[in-house]
Amino acid sequence: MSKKQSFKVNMFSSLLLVLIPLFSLLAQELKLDIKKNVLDNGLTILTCEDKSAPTVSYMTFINAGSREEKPGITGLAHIFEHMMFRGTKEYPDFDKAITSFGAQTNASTGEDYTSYFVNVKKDYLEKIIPIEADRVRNLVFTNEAFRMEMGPVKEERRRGVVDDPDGFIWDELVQTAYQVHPYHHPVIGFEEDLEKNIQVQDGLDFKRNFYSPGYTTIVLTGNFDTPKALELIKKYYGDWQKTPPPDLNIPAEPKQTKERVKNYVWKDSEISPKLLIAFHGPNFEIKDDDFCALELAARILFMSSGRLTKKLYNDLQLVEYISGGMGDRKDPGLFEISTSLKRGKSIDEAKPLILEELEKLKNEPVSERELEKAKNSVKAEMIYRMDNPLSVAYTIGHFQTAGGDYNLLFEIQKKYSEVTPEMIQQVARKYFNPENRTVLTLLPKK
Amino acid sequence: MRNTGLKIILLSLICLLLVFSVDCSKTQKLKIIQVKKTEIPVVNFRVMIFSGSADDQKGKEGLAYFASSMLKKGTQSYSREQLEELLDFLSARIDISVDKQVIVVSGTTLKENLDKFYPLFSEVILKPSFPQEEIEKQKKEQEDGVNMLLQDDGELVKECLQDYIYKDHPYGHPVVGGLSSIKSFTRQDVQDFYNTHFVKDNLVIGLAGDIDENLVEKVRKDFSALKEGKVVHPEGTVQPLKGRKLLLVEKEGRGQTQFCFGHPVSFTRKDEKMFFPLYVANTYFGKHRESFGVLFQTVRTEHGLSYGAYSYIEYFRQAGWSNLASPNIPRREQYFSIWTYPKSINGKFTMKLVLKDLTDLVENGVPKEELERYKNFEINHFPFEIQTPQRKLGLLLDEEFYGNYGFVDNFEKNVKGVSSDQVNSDLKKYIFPDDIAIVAIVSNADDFKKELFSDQTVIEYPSGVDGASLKEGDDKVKAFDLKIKPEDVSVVKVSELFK
Repeated sequence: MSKKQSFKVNMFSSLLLVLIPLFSLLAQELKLDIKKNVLDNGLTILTCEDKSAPTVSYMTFINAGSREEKPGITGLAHIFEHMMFRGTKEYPDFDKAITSFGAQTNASTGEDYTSYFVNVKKDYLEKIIPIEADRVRNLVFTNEAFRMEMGPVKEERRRGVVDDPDGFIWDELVQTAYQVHPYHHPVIGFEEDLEKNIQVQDGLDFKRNFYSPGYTTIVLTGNFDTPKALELIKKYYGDWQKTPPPDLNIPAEPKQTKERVKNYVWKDSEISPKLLIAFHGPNFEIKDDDFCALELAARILFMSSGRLTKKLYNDLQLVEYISGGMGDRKDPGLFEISTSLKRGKSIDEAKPLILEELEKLKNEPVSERELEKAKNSVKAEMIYRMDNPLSVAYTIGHFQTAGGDYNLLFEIQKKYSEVTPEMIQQVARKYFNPENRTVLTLLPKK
Repeated sequence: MRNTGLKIILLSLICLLLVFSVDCSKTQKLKIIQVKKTEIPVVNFRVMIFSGSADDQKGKEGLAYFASSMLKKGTQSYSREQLEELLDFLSARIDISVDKQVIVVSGTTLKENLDKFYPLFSEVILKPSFPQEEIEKQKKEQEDGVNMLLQDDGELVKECLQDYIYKDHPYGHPVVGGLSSIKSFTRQDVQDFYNTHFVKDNLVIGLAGDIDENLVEKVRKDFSALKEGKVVHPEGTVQPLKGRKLLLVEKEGRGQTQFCFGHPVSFTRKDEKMFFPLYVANTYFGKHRESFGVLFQTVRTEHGLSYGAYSYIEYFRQAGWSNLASPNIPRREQYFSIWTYPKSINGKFTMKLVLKDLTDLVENGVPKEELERYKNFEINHFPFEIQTPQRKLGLLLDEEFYGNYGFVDNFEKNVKGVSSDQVNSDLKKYIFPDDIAIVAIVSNADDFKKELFSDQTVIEYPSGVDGASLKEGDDKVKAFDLKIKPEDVSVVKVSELFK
């Protein structure tokens, strides 16, 4: 979210972790009528009408994020996100073009995709489609504009990583857990790449490869008429030239064979000790059941009444918070556990208790009630997210891009409902092993 | 016989009238605001209690937060553990938020679980048990809250500004209190706070989503069991600032300087005549997370100095990850503020730039042609403010606090009615660039002061910014008189805060 709203970019995936991965249970009950259209040039359009809403949400998903960056150009996808608000020849001042419509606009960059949204009152949909089409097609990527955006990007990084202990340790976690795969580098990029390495030609190449119809999905939700909207989208995107798909060659992360441990000391004494533990897990394509079983395991551990929350937060009062979940990524993600200890408490007290609970998952089946509770939470989150067009659009777009198909939104619930206590045991045994583990600590300065 | 019969009828009628009138008085006092929307099978509850941290007594700072948090820590029928387990099982939530003048207990459940959820929700408010062992745990949890505040520079700088401008006023301490006051809380303090503030005359109830009359009546009946009582809130006078005052909060190793500028204002959204012109003026100048604002344009777009630069005419808390303001943080005293966070080396220049922008705004006003654009923005943007039942309910509950009934319904009309003359004269009347407090989080206060009082104003342009093209304007910024004397500067170490 880096135009204006900085999700700490490195934390973006964690947020999704909590909010996004588990939709679909009641999607059909909620009568989500999603229609898919693909233009000849490859542009995908997903529409979902809700006539009870006074507004529409118009989202553009570019199916490329930091995963599509190569070493030396880290942070480029995120810079594009910033550049998209700098205007074009047709609309030199993007803000001016949309201010009177009262639009809500923002964008976010993650590992797997970049997304943009413009929400407006339903009457203004036809006004914003040409503006949105123009900026994604005719983004001006000049050296001057690109360099201009570096200042805010670096300040965003300073705020979210350099001066933020949580941001810092999350960045270090991915760099340690991934050695080869591009998930290794932070979405916001390495400072030296931002400062020196990225050249304007890199930007032009990225634009040609990814800001193209085949890599773009438009998701439209709220109060509109699909045929009329499609007509407008065809008018403004129909002659967008198709480009050949790039040769990506994204290297697979080799199997981790040994535990990785890193310990850091923060630059001031005001922070609480922090501990991150991560295990390599499956991807989000749901070809097997591991993803769903791991996500439910996370809920059994980290809900308010979850095993680890109860033990470490409520009973022993060891931690300020503890959370975790299975990252929903195109390529194999991480099962992440994050905790911050109370002042005066030691990581050595908390870590063995966390590992002990993970071992228990391997050795004893979880109770039916715990599992049911976790499944209930998946279902409820989906319904709670349906209360506004943006949230619906985001959900659909996320499944389409990170999951590969919006229909996963409907299918995943079935997968969740089929998870058994034995399956939780199986994934615990398969993934929660020392050689698959990365552990990071961050202590306050003494 | 006939007379006796008449007497009986009359007596019965009197009894009925008495019963009815008692009922009426109860129902009149218990107001329930409803926002019905049945498309999504979700029910939201919000109970707003018109008390908050401004009611904390001296030495008991943080008690409103503490006592409110204890509501969820056990009731007559459920332990904390049972409550958490049941709520998780139902995938429902009960949240408690506390601000200076309100406590809000909110609940969210799926409609299908309403029958199981409502007894939990009502018991949390009506029959808390305040178990002693949870009192001790809550002290630790609240201490964590204080420590977390110290860790987050963005929140810290905003809190320090409020503490500074409301010094000696009931608003002048963090809602979570201080480490020593937290230690002093007893179960009796909690019980006393509850008995005094959780009374019928001191709250309003809101219901939103997939609700029906049965639920409304049930809530009305159950909550009528609350005691009656009048709450006397502490009075305080907000002292206006004279001149520019700078508070430096020293925290080692900062790469950025978090700045918050601000001063108290003499209006709230209840004073619609001033509120709407200044609301639109603020949209033009620095609306939160909008890139069209003057501040955003000069600080970020032109100079690349900070990721953000925003201004506010009332206390602001962002709602989740949207750009919108959280409802239900109403206050009887408000303040104007600006927030930005440049790289440390550019701190002095950014201070000057921000204060110059603000001075220009007050002196020159909002250009007439621009005003219409920003009025249109707000008019067309308002549907997002009320697009979910819970957001609309939140704003309607705020109307109950302020007594500005019709704020939501008349928003469009009121913004349309804003004139250029009003905006420009109200800016002069209510916004004071020369009488403002500035809080900065810096690595080293002595170094910052040395730079501040030197003749030089350094700016390190980001690599893409053409400093030469900005020279003329930037020379004026450098020449801007900060009007801060050494005696206007105070320093506090972060480790000394919120003790």
